[in-house]
Amino acid sequence: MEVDKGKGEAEETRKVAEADRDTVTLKSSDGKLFEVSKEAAARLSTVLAGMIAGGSIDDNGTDLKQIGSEALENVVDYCNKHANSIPSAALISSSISFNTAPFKEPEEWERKFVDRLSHDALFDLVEAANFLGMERLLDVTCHKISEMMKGKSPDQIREVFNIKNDYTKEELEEIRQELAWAFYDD
Amino acid sequence: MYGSFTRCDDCALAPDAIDPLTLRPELVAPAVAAVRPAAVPTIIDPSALIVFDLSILGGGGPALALPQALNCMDKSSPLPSPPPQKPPSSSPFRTHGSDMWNIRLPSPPPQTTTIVFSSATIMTDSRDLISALPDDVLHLLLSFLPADEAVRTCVLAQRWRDLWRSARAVRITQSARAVRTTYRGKVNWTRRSLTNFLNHLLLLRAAGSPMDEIEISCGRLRGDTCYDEHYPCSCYEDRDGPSPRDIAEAEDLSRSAGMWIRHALSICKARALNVSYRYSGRLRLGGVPFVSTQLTKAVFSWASFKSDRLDFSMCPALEDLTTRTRISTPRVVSLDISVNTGRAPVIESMPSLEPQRAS
Repeated sequence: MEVDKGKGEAEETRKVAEADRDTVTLKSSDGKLFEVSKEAAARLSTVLAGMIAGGSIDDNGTDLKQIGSEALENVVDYCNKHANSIPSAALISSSISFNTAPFKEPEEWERKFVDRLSHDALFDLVEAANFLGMERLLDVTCHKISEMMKGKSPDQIREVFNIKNDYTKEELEEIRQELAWAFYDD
Repeated sequence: MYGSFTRCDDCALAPDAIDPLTLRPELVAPAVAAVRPAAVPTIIDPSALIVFDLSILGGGGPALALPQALNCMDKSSPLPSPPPQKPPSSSPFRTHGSDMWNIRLPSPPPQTTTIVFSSATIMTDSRDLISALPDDVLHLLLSFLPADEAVRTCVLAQRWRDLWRSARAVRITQSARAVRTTYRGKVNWTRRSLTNFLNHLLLLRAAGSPMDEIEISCGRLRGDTCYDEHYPCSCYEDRDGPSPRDIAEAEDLSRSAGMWIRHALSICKARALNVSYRYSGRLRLGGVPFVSTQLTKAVFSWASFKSDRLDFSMCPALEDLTTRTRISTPRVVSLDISVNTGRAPVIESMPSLEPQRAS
C-alpha cells in the first residue's frame, strides 16, 4: 500500500516537472540534442520566444534543421553564459528590443566568447543567430567580423574573407570616380 | 601530389591560431587540391570547385548551368533558392569538428618542417562566407565600421557595391589622442572633409533604409591645411584667437550640423544621436527642431543652443539625454549632465525624471 502511494506521488511529481520544465530541448540538423534554459531562450531569441509562447516546443527536441550541432552548441553556450553573467540593464534592454536601444559594445565575456571561435564557426554562429532572431548575439558576432575588416585595404579584406573581385578595371575606375568623396581623392 | 597527410587528433595548434593573412594562396591551394581525394569521402566533380567560385559572384550566370553543384553550395541571396538552408552536412565543403591534418610541404624551410592546418581552415580559405550572408546581416555588420570604411567596401566585389547605402548606422569617430590609422594612412577629419563626406553619404543612402544610430564624434576638428606639410598651418589654435574667417567657417559647420541632425531624425529616423565635435567654438544648434518619434538617446558634448534652451518635448520616445545645457523634455528618465564651467543646466518640465538621478 505504502509502496503504491509512493509510486503515485513520484509519477505525479514527474508530470508536474514535465509541464513546468524550465528548459527546452533543441535538436540540431544532424540530430544532436541540446538543453537550454527556457527563460534565457525566450529572452535572447525572438524565434524561440515565439515558439515557447505558441506551444510549438517539442519535449523530445525541437527541430532546428537549419542549424548544425557545432553552431547550436555555441548558441546554447552563449545562452548559458548570458544567464550566468551579471546581467547589466543595458544588455537586457538591447536583447529584448533591438529596435529601441543603440548598440552597446560587447562585454568582456562576449569578446572572449567570439574570439575563441574559428573562422568557420563564427560565420555559422552568425547565421544561427540570424535564424533564431538573437539580436544581441548577432550584434556581437557581426561586431567581431567588422573588427576583422577595420583598417584594412580592400585587397587585405578580400584575402581575409576570400572575396573574389569580379569587377573589371573600368568598373572599378567608374566607382572610384563616382564615390571620390569617400576615397579622399578630391 | 603536393604533400603527404597524416591524421593528428591531439594536435595542440588551435585553428584560430592561424592568421588568415599568413595563409598564402600558393600554400592553401595545393593543400585543398591534395586533401580532396584523400580526406573527403564524397567524390567531387572537378567542375564543382569552379562552379563554387562562380556562385560567390552573386550573379548566377554561368553557375546556373550546373544546378546540382549549386544546390550543394549556393548560399548567396541573389540566386533563386529556397529559404536559407545550410548545405547538407555531408557536403565536402562543410567539414566541422576537430579534424586536423598535418601537411608536409615539398621543400619545407629548414626551421619549419610541418605546418598544421585544421581542415576547417583549409576549407574556409576556398569559400567566401561573408558575401553569402543575407543583406540584412551585412547592413548590420557595416554599421560597426567607421562610415568611410563602410562606404569603401563597395570596391570589394559586385555583391558589395551598394550595401553601404543601407548600413544601419553612420559612425564618424576620431579621438584626439589616438588618431585612427587605415591602410591609407592616418585619418584626420577636417572641417571640409567632414562636411563633404557627410553631405554625400546622407544624400546617397538608400531611401527608407533604417538607421539606428548616427554618431559624429570627432572631438576638436582641425583646420583643412593642418595636416598638409606643404602649407603653413592655418589652424586657429596656432594664433591668438579665432579670426573672422574661423568664426565664419564655424558658423558654416554649425549650419551643416543642424541639417545633418534634421535629416537623420526626419528622413533616416535615427534612434540614437551623438553629436560631439567642435571647430573654433561650440556648435550652435539653435533653431534646430528636435522632432522625432523614434529618438531614444541623444548625446551632445560641444553644442550650445540659442537662448540656452534645448527643447526635446517633441521627442516622446527619448529616454536618455546627455548634454550640457538647459533641458526640457517630458519623458526623460535618465540624465547624465557634466558641467565643467559656467552655469549648471536648468532642468524643467521633466516629470518622469527620478529626482535622485539628476545630480
